[in-house]
Amino acid sequence: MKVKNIDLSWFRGAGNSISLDTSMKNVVVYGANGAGKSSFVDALEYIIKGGRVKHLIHKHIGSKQEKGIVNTHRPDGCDSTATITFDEGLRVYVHIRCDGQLIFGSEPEQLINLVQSWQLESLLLRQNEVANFIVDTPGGKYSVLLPLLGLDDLERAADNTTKLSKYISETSELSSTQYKISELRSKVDRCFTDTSDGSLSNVLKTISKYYDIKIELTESIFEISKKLHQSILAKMDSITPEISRYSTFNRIFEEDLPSKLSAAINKQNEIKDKIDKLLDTRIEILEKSQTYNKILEEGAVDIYCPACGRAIKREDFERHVEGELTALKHLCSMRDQAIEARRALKDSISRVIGYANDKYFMNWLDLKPQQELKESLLSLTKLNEDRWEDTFTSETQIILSQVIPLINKVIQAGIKKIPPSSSRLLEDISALEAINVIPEIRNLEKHEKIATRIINALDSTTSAIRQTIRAKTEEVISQISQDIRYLWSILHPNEPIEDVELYLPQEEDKSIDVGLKFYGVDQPSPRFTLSEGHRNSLGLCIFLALARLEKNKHLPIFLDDIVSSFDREHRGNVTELLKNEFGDRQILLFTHDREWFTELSMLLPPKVWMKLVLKPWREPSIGMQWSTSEFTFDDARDYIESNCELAGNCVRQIMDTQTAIAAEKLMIKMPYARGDKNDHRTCVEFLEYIISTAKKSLKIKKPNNEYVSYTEPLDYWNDTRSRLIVRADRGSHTGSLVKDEVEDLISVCERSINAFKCDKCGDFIWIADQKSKELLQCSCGRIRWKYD
Amino acid sequence: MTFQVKYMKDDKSYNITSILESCMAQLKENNKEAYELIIKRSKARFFENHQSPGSLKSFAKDILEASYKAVK
Repeated sequence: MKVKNIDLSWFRGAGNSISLDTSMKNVVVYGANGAGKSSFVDALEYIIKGGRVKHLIHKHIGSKQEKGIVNTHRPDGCDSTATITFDEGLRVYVHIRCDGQLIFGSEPEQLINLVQSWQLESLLLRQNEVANFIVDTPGGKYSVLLPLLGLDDLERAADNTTKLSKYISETSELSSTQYKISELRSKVDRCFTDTSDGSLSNVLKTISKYYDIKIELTESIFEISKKLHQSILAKMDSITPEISRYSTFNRIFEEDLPSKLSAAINKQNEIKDKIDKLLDTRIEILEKSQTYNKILEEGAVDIYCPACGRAIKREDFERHVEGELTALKHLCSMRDQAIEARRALKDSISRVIGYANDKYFMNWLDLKPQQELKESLLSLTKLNEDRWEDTFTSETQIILSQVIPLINKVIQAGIKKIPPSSSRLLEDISALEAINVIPEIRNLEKHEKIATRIINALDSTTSAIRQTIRAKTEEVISQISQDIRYLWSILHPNEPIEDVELYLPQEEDKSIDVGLKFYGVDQPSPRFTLSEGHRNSLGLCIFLALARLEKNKHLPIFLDDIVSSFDREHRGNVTELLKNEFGDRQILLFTHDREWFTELSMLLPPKVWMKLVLKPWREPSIGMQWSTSEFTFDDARDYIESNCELAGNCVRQIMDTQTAIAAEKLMIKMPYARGDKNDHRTCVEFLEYIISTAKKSLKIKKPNNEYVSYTEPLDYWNDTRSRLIVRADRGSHTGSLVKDEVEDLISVCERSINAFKCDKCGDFIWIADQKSKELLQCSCGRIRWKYD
Repeated sequence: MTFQVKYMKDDKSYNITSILESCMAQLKENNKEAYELIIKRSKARFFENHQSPGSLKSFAKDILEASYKAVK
């Protein structure tokens, strides 16, 4: 597929209309900086990328970069257009309407889709991209190369599967689900080591039995567990009074009313016997006491004891009285004990009445079965309102003896019904709650498993795609690495950099780097050892190797200012490389390098190469303009109006280059000049030796096929040399050139350069390949240069 | 030679759907719904083309919904 025309109108640097007509040949376009040559390349990129040129990207440039694409001085009512016409009448175009509407189209209709599917990077190489690629990171190189290797759809697929996997994880809330499962699972694990249905069923049976809750074994364990849980929670309210009541029972029981009653009665009875006797003796004493005066008066021997009333010998009386005192004191002690026992009983009864005032106990007492107990307690309450302990009458004793055993009986029965302990209760509730979360765990695990399986499948797909990318990339880069080495050897023969290759760093996805050997030492990156010029050269080799891949072979190659950092020798090697290795490809070469353009235009055969020169750009409304000359003297013409001296200098610079290349191609022998002087010879010097050699070497073919001396060009060259000596030197040294003189000088120089060409075939005299090493000639053989 | 035959032939030696099918054999057994959704999209060149986050999130949601529905 070859480009026939690129037509621009008010597009970038173009004015109303400019057409790059290739005539289906290769093209080399020269233009000074700003002449507008990149506008053709921008048109290609804009169409392929559907309205985007990478180097124009800016936040204020507009959604379709219209502020950069449209000529700032486009007249109202005019569209900006770019049309690329290929062979067989195929064409693609873009119209940017005045109203901002953007229209991409083609003939045939589907061609635009094909063109927009091209990898721009395999068609177009710009200078800055060469440099950027080499210094880019391995990841950056990967991004650039992958589309060129045709593997970008695989990369997108890997990217999509990776992201889809991530979104599955996010949407399914996988991480929080896993956390929740872990939390719930630990709750279950705290209660059970075995969560099989059989084991859980046994737990439920135990719990239901303990709490006396009936369960239906036909139900699922989780339904049973839920019901048990609800029942036990409902029981919590009833269990609280039960615990409280049990506590009251215990406290009443611990008061041990029966023992205290028994003690009180016994003590009371003991005192009663003693007191009865005492009362009897008191009368006797009072009766006997009437005799004391007589005894004291008569001095009787026996004394009647006032305590016991018996007659005691006078000498025994004192001891007897002490005995009686001891007995009385003992009796008093017994009395005190009896009182204490009664008080203890009363206090105990008071506490029991207090315990019984507990609200849960009272509620329970209100129930019918507890009626007798309630009445008993009421009796006690009523009794205790009096000071019965002082008298402790038999009536009181009877009441107490009836009530207390009855209370004791109920209490003893009560304390046998031990309510569940709160720790047990909590344990059982925890167990049931643990069972209740098992269905949730199982459900979460089910969802987690679904998401995990999808994620695993996607991840293994991503991994497989990446392996495919790696395998395919290795296959292609191995192939192009051979080509890179080959192209490098043409650009840099006999240089110590070898084994240049692309490689995939181990254990790293999405990265490609360039390796090489520098003086026999492996280098993992060209950054380490290569100069800027070598890096750019390497970038060019990589691009050209990619462009030569089978899938790209039918496409043209656009090279925009690719040799800026190359020295003259390497630029020459690029020329040879393009000429010899890309003869079957259409190349559109754009350069601002006048010297290289001169070299190209004097070396590349006009049959397959067009040489076009853009005039220096003047203003937006005029836009880009083609020069009518294939030489670069328009650069000099551009200075005439403003600075004739500068124009004269420019003419001489152009002639320096043109004549140097001519002298080189004609193998003119010149005396050796020391040091830099070899590289600073002037056009005057070259012309002098060319003229001198041409006198015997330049021949023209006569109709009888005989070659005779060809002197006409010598006249031109002599004339040019003379004028260059006078005018160009004046231009550089005296500053007194005028407009007419410069125009005359340019005209003469153009004629002189044209004099190296054949009038018939249009080729330079050195173009044709000759078997003989002794002569050069044009393509048709009309003129030739025979040298020694 | 027609325009399409000359310039638009597909020389790909790999197929994303085939890679997906081979990597998702297990998923096919335990989650046929998700598998079929993914393969269906793949056949429509969903994965080869650039997809926005919104489109991928929506697809993820569809896959999960179909999967949950199937296991209910």
